[in-house]
Amino acid sequence: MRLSMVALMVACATAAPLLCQNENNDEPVSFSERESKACGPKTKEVKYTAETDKTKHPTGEQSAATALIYILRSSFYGPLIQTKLAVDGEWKGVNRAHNYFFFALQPGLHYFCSEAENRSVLVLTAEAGKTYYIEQEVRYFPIKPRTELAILDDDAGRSELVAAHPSVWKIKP
Amino acid sequence: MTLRTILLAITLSFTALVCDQRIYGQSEDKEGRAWLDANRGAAALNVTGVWEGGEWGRIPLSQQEGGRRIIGTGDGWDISGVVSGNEIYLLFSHKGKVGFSAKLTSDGPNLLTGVYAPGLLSSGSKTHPMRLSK
Repeated sequence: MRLSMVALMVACATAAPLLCQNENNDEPVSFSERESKACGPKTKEVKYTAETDKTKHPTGEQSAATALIYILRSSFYGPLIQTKLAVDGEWKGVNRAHNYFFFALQPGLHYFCSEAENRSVLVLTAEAGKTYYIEQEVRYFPIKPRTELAILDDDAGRSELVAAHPSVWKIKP
Repeated sequence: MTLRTILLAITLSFTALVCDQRIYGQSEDKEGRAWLDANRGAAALNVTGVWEGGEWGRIPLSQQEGGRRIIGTGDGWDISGVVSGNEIYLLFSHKGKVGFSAKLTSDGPNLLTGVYAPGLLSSGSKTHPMRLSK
């Protein structure tokens, strides 16, 4: 009897986390948790030297298995200020004024980080076969430039893409 | 400008600051989480997707398959929320402080309507309409 009670208690203790799984999705909620997930640790941060290539205008090929992500920066503010972008802690590239770059992303929940003088985080569940236009907005507030990520609708995204030039960069050693 | 006017202005500014702290200073982790957790129904819908929120801009929301919790971002706010039955409860926070909260209901797969208010919604809140569409 005592043994079966112990077994029952162990079974309950083991099952409780499973039963509570849907109630307590352990996705990060706080700003610092989101930022950490999006931007990764400072030790993994990369520095870029960036330029604008006005000779080409490449676009991405949409695959049925992945999402196509365009990172755009149409704002003219702080033309030489770099806005770096990371996804899930991995640095993907950098823009300056009127720049863009793109990459394919596996479908699912992702944390985007844009960094200038500050950091901005965007959380997005990317769907396979879809194209997303994400703007790195830059504003002066109050003195230093601040970046903020926003999702554009397809029409606005396409129109900003046409007006932008690709960003090319090298990672500083 | 008389000394009385200056003192009145200082007093009013201080009062506004205190009120602002009271309205916007609620912690997302404590009061916000408690506000969300008060709604315990099983989720009857999944709101994952990018929603058009008018003055709020485009709001991407993510809800795990079979889960209740919502995470998102929009108009510079960190969004966290919960789905309870057919109702959606959202917190708009900045650096851990709640700015606004919203209660929405599903009016079909592509439309959420309801209200938002500064701070945490309660029976006495001054609300504004909110509409999210796909």
